[in-house]
Amino acid sequence: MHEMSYVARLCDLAAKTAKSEGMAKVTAIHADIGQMTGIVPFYMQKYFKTAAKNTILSEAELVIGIIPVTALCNTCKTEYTPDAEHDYLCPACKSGDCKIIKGREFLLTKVKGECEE
Amino acid sequence: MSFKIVDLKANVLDDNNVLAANTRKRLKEEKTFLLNLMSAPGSGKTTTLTRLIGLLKDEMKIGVMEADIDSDVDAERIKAAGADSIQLHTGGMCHLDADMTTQGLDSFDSKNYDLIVLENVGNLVCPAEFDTGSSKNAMILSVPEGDDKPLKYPLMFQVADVVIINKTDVAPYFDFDIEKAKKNIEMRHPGIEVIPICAKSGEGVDKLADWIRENVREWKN
Repeated sequence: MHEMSYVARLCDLAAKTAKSEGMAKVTAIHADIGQMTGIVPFYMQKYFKTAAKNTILSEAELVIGIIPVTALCNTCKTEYTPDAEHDYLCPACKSGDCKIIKGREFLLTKVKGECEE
Repeated sequence: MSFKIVDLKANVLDDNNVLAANTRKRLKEEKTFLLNLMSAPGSGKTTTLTRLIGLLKDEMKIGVMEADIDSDVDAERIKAAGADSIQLHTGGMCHLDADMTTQGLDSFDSKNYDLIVLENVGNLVCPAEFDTGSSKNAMILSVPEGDDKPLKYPLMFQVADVVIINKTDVAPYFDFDIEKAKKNIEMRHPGIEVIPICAKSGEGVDKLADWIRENVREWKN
């Protein structure tokens, strides 16, 4: 829904990283997106082309990886992926008291590029 | 020409999270409690606020920041109820981030207030993902939306510190089961406080006012 503002932030960060590493051109950037962020990869790709235009990223490919949701049960300390089959509860002890430990990330994980010299 | 690959693990939203943390620290020093109020469009955010202002305006100085795409309708209602109000025109953004919130606080002179309410954009998805720098988050679930809403928008219910169930007067017409709604909310956020109200008649709003009094007091300590 707000992929454009995510893409703008991602491009800013990638461009800064590329410049500080002395790159003249970026060929690819990799981003990991948590399943619980509500970011839709299709729209990320769509807006990336627009955001990257006329920047150091204009010819870069965006590679997206997905991080599944992982919850840690506060009751029995089981780590699990919440799913509809178990009503999103802990499959071991049926508690809903948990902490989300993975799945809300939005990370820039790789910048690939070419340096002039 | 040489090739280079940089591996990193940079949080793209870091700039927002850092700014939000700074804003929270500043508000703590200023002893100003910032409540981020979130809900779907039409759940009764402004009506709830006008009721609350009526109950609280004699004991604390209240300001409201209204996020709306392009209108002043809500800001006028807030002013009429007796609180200061500014309109943050989001120009189509689906949520508020820490930057917009901080700009709003700056234009407000936030230190002069005990309570500032940020009326976020009506939306249950995006506002849940961006830390605004608020002291606490409240969300309103209104009866016509259904008692199964917590199952559909899990993150919103997880980031909330209190859930207000509004429009309880029409529950019988919408097959809305308050106990079932509470159970669904509990499943998403164990132990969270749930306050049923009817903003139209004012029923239950006194309990919400108590929750705010207690939190404002704690924030100032």
